Amino acid sequence: MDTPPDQSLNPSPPSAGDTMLLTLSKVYACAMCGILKDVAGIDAVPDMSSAHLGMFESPYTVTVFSPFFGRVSGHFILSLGPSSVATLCRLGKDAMVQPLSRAVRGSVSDVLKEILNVSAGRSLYEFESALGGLSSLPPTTVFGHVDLPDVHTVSIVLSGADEPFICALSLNRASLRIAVDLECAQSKLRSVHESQNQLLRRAVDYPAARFSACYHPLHEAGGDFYDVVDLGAGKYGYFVADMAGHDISAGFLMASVRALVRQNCTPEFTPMESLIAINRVLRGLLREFEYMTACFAVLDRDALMLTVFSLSHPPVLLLPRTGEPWFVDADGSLLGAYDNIEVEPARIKVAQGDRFVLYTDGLVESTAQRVWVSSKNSLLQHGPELLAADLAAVPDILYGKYFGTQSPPTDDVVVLCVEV
Amino acid sequence: MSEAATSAVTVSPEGNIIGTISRRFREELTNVLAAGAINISIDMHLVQMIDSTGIGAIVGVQKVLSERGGGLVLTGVSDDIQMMVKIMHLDKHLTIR
Repeated sequence: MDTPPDQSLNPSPPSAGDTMLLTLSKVYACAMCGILKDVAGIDAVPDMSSAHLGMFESPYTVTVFSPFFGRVSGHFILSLGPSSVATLCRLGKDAMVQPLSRAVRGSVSDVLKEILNVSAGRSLYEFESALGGLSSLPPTTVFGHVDLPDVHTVSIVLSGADEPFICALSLNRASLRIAVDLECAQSKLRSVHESQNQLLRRAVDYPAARFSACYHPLHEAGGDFYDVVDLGAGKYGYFVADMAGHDISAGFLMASVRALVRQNCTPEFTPMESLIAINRVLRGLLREFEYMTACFAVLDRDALMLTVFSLSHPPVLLLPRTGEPWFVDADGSLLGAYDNIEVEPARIKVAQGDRFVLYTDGLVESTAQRVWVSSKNSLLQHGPELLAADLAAVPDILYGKYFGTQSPPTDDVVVLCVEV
Repeated sequence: MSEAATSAVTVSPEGNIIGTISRRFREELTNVLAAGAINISIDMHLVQMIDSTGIGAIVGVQKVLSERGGGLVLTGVSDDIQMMVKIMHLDKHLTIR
C-alpha cells in the first residue's frame, strides 16, 4: 500500500536548488489543496514547516507538467494515505469510476489514478487561471503515471481533516541545475548592470556642471555611455557615446571608454587632441566590425561659447531661452574604425539659461524605425516643454515622449541635458 | 586573379537591417568575404533603416575589401541612409551609386 516518503530532515544546509524547489513547492502545495477540495471535499492546508527534501517515490503518482515557471519543468506528485484512497474511491464510484471503468481494469490504485487524471487536470488549470496572469498559458498536461527520472524532491504535509496527505514537487535534476545556473547568470548580469551604472557621473556629485542624464540599457549592460569632465577655466566637457551593437560585450567596452575619456579629456589637451588619442586607442581595441559614435560638447561657461565635436553622432539639440529649438550640425568620422579621424566642430554663442541635449540614436530611431537623420526631427516639438521643466526632470520627460510600457525601446538610450 | 574573384558579388537585403537581421546580414557578408570576394555590391533599395550593427558590418567589410585591393559599392540607397553615410564620412571609403 502507500508508503509515505521518509520524513527525516535533510541534514545538509539547503542549496540554491533546494531553495528554488521549496519556493515552487509552496505554489504546488496550494494547488494540491485545491485538488483535494475538488476531488474529495477535503479542506487541507500546506504545512511548509514539515517540508522534506530528498528523493521521493510513490506508487500513487500524478505528474503534472506545467508551464508555471517557464523553463523549469515540474513534476507534481501526490501521495495519499489508505483512508484517503478509500474516500476517493468511494467518491469516484459515485461520480467518475463508472464512466471510466471501461478503461480501468486494474487495482484500486489504477482507479484512483484515473480519477486524479481528470480532476487534477481540471483543478490545476482552474488554479492557474485564478492566480491571474496565467490564464494565457497553455493548459496543463496531466499524466496518470510516468517513470520518474533522476529527480530532486520536496514533500510537504497537507494537513487535512482526517489525516495528513503528502504533497511533493519534484524537479528533474538537470532542469533544476539549469534553473539555478540561469539564476546565477542573471545575478551576475545584475552585478554588471550595477557596475556600469557606477561608472556614470551623477549630476548631484557634479553640480557645477549643471546637467541631468538618464541611461536605459536594453540589456543588463549597454553600449551607450555618457560622462562629464571638468576641463578647467570654466569649461566643462559633456561626452555621449554609442558603441555599435547593444549587447553585453558592448557594455563591457564602456569601462574602457570611460577610462579613455577621463584620461584624455583634460585641460592639458585640446578637445581635438583628446579625440585623436581616444581614436588611436579604440582602433587597437575594437574588432573590424566595431566602432563608436560620440558627441563631445565643450561649454565655456565664462565665454558663453559651446563647441560641438560630433563623431558620426546624432546632432545636439539646442534649446535657446529665446527662439526656436534647432540642431547643431557638425560632422566627423567614426571613432575606432579608421586610423585617422576628420572632425569639423561647430562653435555657437549661447546665453545664460539656454539648454542643450545630447542623446543617442536609440531615443529617436526605436519608435520611428527610421535612421536618426530624419527621425531626430521629432525632438523639435518638445523644445518648449524641455525648457520649462526642471533641469533634473528633462531626460526622463524626453524619454517618456518616446517610450512606455506599451512601446519599449529596441536600443540603448542615453539622454543628457545641460543648462548654460 | 580570377575573373570571378574580381567581379562584384551582390548582396541584396530584403528589408530593414536591424536587430537579429543585422547580425544575419553581417554573417552573410562574412561568408562572402570568406569565399574570397574582392568587390562586393550591396543592393539597398529595400532598406529604409539600418542599425549600428548593420553599419558596423558595412564598415568591417569595406576595410577587408580595401586591404584586398577591392572595394564596396552601395546601390539603391535611400536619401536618409545616404545622408547618414555622408555625415559619417563613410562615402570617402566606399562608393554609392
